[in-house]
Amino acid sequence: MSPTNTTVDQNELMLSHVPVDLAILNSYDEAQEEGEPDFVVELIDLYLDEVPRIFNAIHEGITSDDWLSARRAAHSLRGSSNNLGILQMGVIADVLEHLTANHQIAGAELLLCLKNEFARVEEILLAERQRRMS
Amino acid sequence: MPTVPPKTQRILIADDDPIIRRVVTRLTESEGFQPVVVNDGGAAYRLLQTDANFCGAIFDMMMPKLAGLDVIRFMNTEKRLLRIPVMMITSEQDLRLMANSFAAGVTLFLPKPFTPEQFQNTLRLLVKGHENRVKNPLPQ
Repeated sequence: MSPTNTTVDQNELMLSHVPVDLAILNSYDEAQEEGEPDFVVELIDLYLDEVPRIFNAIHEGITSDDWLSARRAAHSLRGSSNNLGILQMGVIADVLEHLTANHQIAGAELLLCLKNEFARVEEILLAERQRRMS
Repeated sequence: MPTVPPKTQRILIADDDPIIRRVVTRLTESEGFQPVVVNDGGAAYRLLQTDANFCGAIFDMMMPKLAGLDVIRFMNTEKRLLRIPVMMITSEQDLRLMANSFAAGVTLFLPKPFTPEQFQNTLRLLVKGHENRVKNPLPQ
């Protein structure tokens, strides 16, 4: 079966949520232990480190027609993003996860959306990191 | 005021997502438990073959190698593991899946996304379930 030409409405995807709900992210202060490094900063670093790896997994899945791996990576991104309050990434990852197989074009477009969104998210997270470290 | 559990009470955590795994581990520690952490269902399965000393287990529903439900099905075959209550973390909202999971032996569900408070409350309920199982073991 050939790839479909299904495309995604990027504007609709980009406007439905704030990029990062800092109230959700900062709720992890509750798990902060005295004398330990800032837990929220640890989560920010972990997220910034992990997302490019997930992008690679999605890209490889799409290009090698391994749709299960691409969806699994999108599923992981959705869960961790939503849990940290990184809501817009969660929305886009959700759409990608639920694409049916053979939607390579839509999948590639969604990956591009994710990368664009990640640039915005990274800026916000680094600012929050800076605020906490100063 | 709730009593603080001793650090010797161990909780098995299996999740392939490093971010959720870290969150769950820290929140478990903050409740006074000792987390024992593995990266996937296969590792949980191997560990449970030789170690049943847990007052609870927390599994992600979707894991490579062996999904959370598959680990629970294995636990159901071993009497020594039956007393361990299991919390399943999932971002799926499928009611049938949840029903099947309860039927397979899941004690509690925690849907993603969750707040630290929701996790902590669910963990307390889970351990309470363990205490009840120890006091009132399942019939032979």
